[in-house]
Amino acid sequence: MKNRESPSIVSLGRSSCSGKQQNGRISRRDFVRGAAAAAAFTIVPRHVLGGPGHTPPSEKLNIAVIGAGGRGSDDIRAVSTENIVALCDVDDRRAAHTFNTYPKAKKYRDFRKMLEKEKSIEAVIVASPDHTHAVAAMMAIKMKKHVFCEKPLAHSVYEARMLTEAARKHKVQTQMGNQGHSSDRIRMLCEWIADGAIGKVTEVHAWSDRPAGGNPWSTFPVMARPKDTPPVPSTLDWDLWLGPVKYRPYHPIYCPMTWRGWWDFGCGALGDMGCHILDPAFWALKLGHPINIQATTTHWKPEESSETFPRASIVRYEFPARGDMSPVKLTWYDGRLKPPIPECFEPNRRTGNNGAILIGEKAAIMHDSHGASGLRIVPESKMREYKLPPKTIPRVKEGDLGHEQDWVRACKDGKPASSNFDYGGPLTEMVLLGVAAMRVKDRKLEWDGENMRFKNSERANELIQPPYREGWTL
Amino acid sequence: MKEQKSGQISRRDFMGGAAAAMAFAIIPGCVPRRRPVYTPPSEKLNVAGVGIGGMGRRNLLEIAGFELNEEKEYVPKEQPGENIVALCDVDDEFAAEVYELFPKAKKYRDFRKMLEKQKDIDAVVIATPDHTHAVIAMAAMQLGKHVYVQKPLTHSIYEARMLTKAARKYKVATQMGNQGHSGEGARLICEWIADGAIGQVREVHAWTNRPIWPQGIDRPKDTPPVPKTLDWDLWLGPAPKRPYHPLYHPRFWRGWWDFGNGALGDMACHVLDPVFWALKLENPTSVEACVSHYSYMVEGKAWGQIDEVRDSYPRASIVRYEFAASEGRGPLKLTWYDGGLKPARPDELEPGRPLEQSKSNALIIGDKGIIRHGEYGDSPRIIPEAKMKAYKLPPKTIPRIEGSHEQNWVEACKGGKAACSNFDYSGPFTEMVLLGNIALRYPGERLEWDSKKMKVTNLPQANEYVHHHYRAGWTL
Repeated sequence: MKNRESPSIVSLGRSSCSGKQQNGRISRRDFVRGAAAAAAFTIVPRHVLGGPGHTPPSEKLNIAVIGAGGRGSDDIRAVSTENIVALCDVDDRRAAHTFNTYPKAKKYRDFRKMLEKEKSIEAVIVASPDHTHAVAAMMAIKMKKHVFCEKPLAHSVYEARMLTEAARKHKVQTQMGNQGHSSDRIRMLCEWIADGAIGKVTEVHAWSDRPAGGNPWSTFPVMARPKDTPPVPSTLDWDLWLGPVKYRPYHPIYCPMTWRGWWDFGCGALGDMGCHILDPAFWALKLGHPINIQATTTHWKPEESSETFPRASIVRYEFPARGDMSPVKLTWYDGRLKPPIPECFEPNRRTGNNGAILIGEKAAIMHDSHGASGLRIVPESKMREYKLPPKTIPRVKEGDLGHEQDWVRACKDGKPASSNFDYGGPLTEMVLLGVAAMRVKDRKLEWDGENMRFKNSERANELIQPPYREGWTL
Repeated sequence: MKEQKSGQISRRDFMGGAAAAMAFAIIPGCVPRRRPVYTPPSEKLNVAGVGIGGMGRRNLLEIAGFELNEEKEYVPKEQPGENIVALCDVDDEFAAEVYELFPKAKKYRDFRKMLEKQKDIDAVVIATPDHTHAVIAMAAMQLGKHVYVQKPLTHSIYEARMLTKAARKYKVATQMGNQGHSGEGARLICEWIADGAIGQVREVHAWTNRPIWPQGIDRPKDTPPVPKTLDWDLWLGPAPKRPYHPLYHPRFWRGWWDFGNGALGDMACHVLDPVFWALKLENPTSVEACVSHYSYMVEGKAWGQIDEVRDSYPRASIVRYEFAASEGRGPLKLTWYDGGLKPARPDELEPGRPLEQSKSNALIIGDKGIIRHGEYGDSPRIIPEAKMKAYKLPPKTIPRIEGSHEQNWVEACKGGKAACSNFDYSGPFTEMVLLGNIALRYPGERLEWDSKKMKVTNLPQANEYVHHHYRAGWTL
């Protein structure tokens, strides 16, 4: 049942989207005005707004969450203004905390059953491991549910393309979970580039310390498939966890934490962090399809780590000229590798553990991960003398903290969120092409983006659409 | 007699050589000798080997005139080589096979005792782990012995500079064991570059499959007993004391900062040799490095703290050198990759043609073309192949080495021309290589280098690693 109670002032304030804002924060006056505006909307009957699944701003969205125990629990908090009607996780123990927090929500292990049974679901958050994003998101989209899907959007280029097309076809509101995309800073970066702040950009270098970040969520294993087969915990449905992926025995090295390091389940450092770190360049430079990709990696000996991502890799992309923009060479480094120190660096400037630098004819822009945080023109002298251009790109309320809410807004007012799948899909494709290149490494793979095919490697083409286990389809 | 192969001697040449040697035999070997002691060509050199179980074995067998027979056993060639008069190794078991091959040689564990006691030694082949090269070579040179030292010449830049100076001072014949330097490939590359075949060299990319031994690991915590056949204290030599572990000796010492020089020290002395020679890359202006991680989690064992590189070299690294314009060359950037990392594939390389031709490779990129070559400077080709075929080869102006790299040194010991990779060449070369290892200790820092002053000018603490740190009782 949809909750038709009048929303509280607080939730109205969060979900309404009027009013001027500064630095992503809302002033008291704006807040009050926003609340009044939202209140005014409450009189608009739902059917007037039209369109499938549009929930009027006055009403709460009925949200279900797939993968509720891990990253999903953060996403749920961000949309707790809405009705959390169903929660799905294959791991009862890991999801227990979330399950307890939302006692009214129906609990499921199998997202297929949940979507079939819970007819009130209007929108779905997919925050399961990468290998199940696409099957879950696609089922929801086909049922005309709005979808928020964690990054990377999918586990293969084909899945990303299909999700993008399906979202368009079924006219649902989507958002990929690269929350930095809602930040003010990434918008500033786009405006600066468009303003010619650093001249034409010809090179981009981006880097991540993963899979060696040093924290449980940023350190992935590099190893052979374990030979021991510990019993599956009674709280876990291992077969459902595997979903569309070929069967293998359970092991705690995959689940719950370190699936990112395994080819079959995750997308490695690039898939994990590329969606954040490459996001600013992808947007500002309108990169689109690369024309070729080549990767080099540390060893992976079959006996040692043929199933995990390498310790470190370098992925080199080339993008053609786009309109009046120059061709771009983009290089990704992970496992703590870094690009050469650019010539424009002052002696004391250092790079962080995760970040990127866009090198233009006149200067460079350096930023850290997540929505171009720490954005600066380099050298600093050029930053100081730069006259900031007008803010032409609409800001998202509360910036990156409002990423989930911006999707909620989109679900209600029908205006797409900024990292909807038309954007998040191609960004994910670019990232996953790099992952494919790692597996056919040290070759320059020529990419036909339009036709979604490598022109010169059948082996690489097999990685574009890996087969699903029997019983699973997209 | 087997068919003649390059570097081997045919029967006819052998007879000719023997006759020539006979002719020389009238030169008496007993003319008053001053240091250095050059042995006349008519006489056999008395050679000692220190560190004989690994590469030393091959060097000694070559010098002594052994060859592999069809059963893959080493047997003396018809033409006898030099006398192996003394053998020294800290590990009896590791050395046992070589001891058997040279039953007449006196056996030692401590090179200092060997040099002190055995006065008939003319020349010493040093093939111990890197951390003991310098002390042994220096002691030998100070006694007027010629030395053949495995690559890299030393464990620190300072040691390399000292050995280079000492070799000049004591006027002994020297050679570093970068055997590719005696090969045809390195010479062709030098001649082609000098001929302008690829224009001004702007970039060099070199890479190796090393490390193929453990790196990026922590110091072992268990302390297995020292094998009875090993003198662990002597193995450590000037290095700081630590308990014995098979992760150091005999095979894996290269991966540890205290003993080896990692992948770069091992292979750059081969794969960067041609370009170093062609362009005199003695004076890098700066060097920076990045390294792959070092953690327990990579083994899937436990959540690890990520320690900075501490005890062992990283699993993989990239080292970037910059060279200012200098006589005969423009400014250039040289990038080193190891641990499986490779440079971008050049567009000039034909589709389907593999990026690499051996386990270590280099691309020398000029503004008019690219030369690609293998581990030892072997099989250089301009790419694409069409360009190679169209190239009119320049005359061969650099003298070729007949015979092996070891023989080239033996000839120098006997008063012939200086060996091709003598320390005046290989000392500065080793310095350039080892500078990269200092950069590995400071990932993300660009170290500015003053090669004349032997100093990192912008990061004073890095100079600690320019020098060696010897245990009490050891000096250079």
